[in-house]
Amino acid sequence: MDGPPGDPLLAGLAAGRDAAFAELYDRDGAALFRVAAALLGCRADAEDAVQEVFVGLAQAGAALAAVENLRAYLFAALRHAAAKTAARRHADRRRPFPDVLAAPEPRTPADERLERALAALPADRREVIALKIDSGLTFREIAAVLGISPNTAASRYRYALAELRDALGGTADV
Amino acid sequence: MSDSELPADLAALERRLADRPRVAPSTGLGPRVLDVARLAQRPRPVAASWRSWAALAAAVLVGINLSMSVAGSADWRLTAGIEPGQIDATADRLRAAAPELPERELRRQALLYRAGAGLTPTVDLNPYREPERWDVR
Repeated sequence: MDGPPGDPLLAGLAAGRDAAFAELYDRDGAALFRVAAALLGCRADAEDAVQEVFVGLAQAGAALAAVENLRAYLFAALRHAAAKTAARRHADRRRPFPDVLAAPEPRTPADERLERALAALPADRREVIALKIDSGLTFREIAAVLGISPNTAASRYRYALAELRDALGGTADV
Repeated sequence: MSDSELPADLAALERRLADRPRVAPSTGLGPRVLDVARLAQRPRPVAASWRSWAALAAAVLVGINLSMSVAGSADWRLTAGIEPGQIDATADRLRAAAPELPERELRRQALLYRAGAGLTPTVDLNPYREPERWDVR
C-alpha cells in the first residue's frame, strides 16, 4: 500500500491516471494538509503546499515507478513544498496556530490551550508530532521523511511530547 | 515507539493529541488539487531556450567539421576504363567545335575529357596506408 514494487496506486500515478490521483488525495490529502498546517500555521499556505505536492507528482510521471515508499515520498515532498511556501511568503513559523487555523467545533478551552502549546513548540518538534499523530506515519517512515535514523525519529518524538507536556504545566491532563 | 514504550504521562498526552479536534482541508481543496495535477500532466510546448540554440549551434559545427573532413579526404578514381571509340567520338566533336586545333591536341583534349567524365569522388578512409598494386590512383 505504501509503494512496494507492483503497487497499483503508484503505477497509476506513474501512468498519470486521474483515478489514482483522486485515490491518493482521498487517502492522504487530509493528513498532508494537517502536517502542512502544523508546519506553516496558515490554511492558505498549507493548501498551497498540498497542491504543490500533487503538481510535483503529476510532473514526475514515470519517474515515480522508482519510489519505494509512497507515503514517505509524499511527506518528504510536502516538507520541501512547505519550505518553499514559507520562504515565498516569509511565513512566521511561530505564528500562533489557533489565530489563523481554527480547529473544528466543538473546541474546549483545553483544546485551545493544547493547540497554543503545540504551536509554540520549535518547528522540528511540532513537525515530528504532526508526522506521527496527524498523519500516522511509522517511525521508519518519519525517519525517511526527515533523513534521520528511526531511533532518532523516535527520540525526537519523545522529546517533543515531553516539551509539550512541560509547556502545559507538566501534565497531559489539559 | 508505541504507547507502552512511553511513560504514562507522555502516553496520555499522545492519546490526547490523537483525540483532539483537528483542522481539515476545505472541501474545495480536493477538486482544485486534482485539476491542477491534471493540467500539470499535459505536455507543455517547449520554448526554444539558450540550451536549444546551443545544441543547434553545436550540431551545425559538427556538421561543418565533418563535411570539411570528408571533402579533405575525398579522392578521385577512375571507375571504368576508357573505350577507344569514345575517345574518337569526342575528338570528332572537338574537331567540329575547334577545327583550328592540330590533331595531336584534339586527341590530347579528348583523352582528358573522357578521363574527367569517368572520375568519381571517393572518400579515402585511410589516407596513410601503403598503395596496393591494383590501386589505380
